[in-house]
Amino acid sequence: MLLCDRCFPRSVERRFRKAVYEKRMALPGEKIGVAVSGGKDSITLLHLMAELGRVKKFRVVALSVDEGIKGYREEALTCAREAASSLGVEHRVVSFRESFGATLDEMVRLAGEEGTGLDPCTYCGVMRRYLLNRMAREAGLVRVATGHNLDDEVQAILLNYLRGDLSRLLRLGPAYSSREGFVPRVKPLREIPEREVAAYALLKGLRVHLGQCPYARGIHAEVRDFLNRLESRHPNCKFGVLRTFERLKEGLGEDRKPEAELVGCEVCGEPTPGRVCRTCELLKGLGLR
Amino acid sequence: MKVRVKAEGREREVEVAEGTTVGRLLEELGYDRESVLVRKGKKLVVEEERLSEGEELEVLRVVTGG
Repeated sequence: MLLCDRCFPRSVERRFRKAVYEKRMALPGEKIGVAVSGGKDSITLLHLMAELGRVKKFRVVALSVDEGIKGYREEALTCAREAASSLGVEHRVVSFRESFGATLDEMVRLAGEEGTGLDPCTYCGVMRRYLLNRMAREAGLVRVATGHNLDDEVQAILLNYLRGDLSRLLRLGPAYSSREGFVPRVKPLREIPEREVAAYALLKGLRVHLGQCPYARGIHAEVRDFLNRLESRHPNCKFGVLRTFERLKEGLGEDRKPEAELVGCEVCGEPTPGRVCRTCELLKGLGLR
Repeated sequence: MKVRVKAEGREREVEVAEGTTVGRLLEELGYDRESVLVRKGKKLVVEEERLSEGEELEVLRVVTGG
């Protein structure tokens, strides 16, 4: 990893711009959302997108979700607010509590009492995507950029492989296609390793939250540590996993089943392939709907 | 020779052999190179950099996902 104070940030910026241009992630005149948790990836992405937006004439709106994780999310949201304010970017925040009537901490407690057997990441992941999509649609955004880096992508590939979830595996990619009611998501940092994103944030002096989510455990963390150990001894194996996956996806592309048609959820009206969306199902299981 | 290492809110003195690199120090301390960055003052340093007597280093855990 090269760490010349001037060349290294430029190299990250170049790879970011290449991804944005090649996949047409943001075009002049468009209004693009950036999902900002306050961590190093999303804060770095917000800075990069806001700076490129000024040059390429697209508008950036920061979107944050306050899940309600005591001792973790508060500081991260402060970083998000500061970054948006310093960049002069509109910042929208919604919370689990005001949207669903309970924080994630409360949901985790309820899940234990109700014996749902589901882990915190299931509630958090499903509901965060639900709120981000709703916020983006209400704000009239054409796309939402997320801070997923190379490590996130490779971990997701391996996890879906281990779980045998071919459908989810084949949906992974630099951009998700547009479907009625869903705002497409794009990942401009997808080919930049997590450690390099962190180095960029530090070299640029960005205020970021480096805390670890108290709910992060289980197989996801094990896959992350396994890949990092492997990469330390065999450099470039993360890129190897990504490139091989892309070639396999190309080959399997024609065999993919068409995605189910979307309808409005009977409870909340949000798009879903079934009668009731996953968020409403989860809330019902917790006695919140 | 001795170097001072700050990590995870703790600071300690570590005895290392002459010519030890940052990468070697990380291994000796049980860190995975991919999960951390090392700072000397305000500058980030690469794993190949050789340590000098009395240097102060900060190990930052930067992998937060999972």
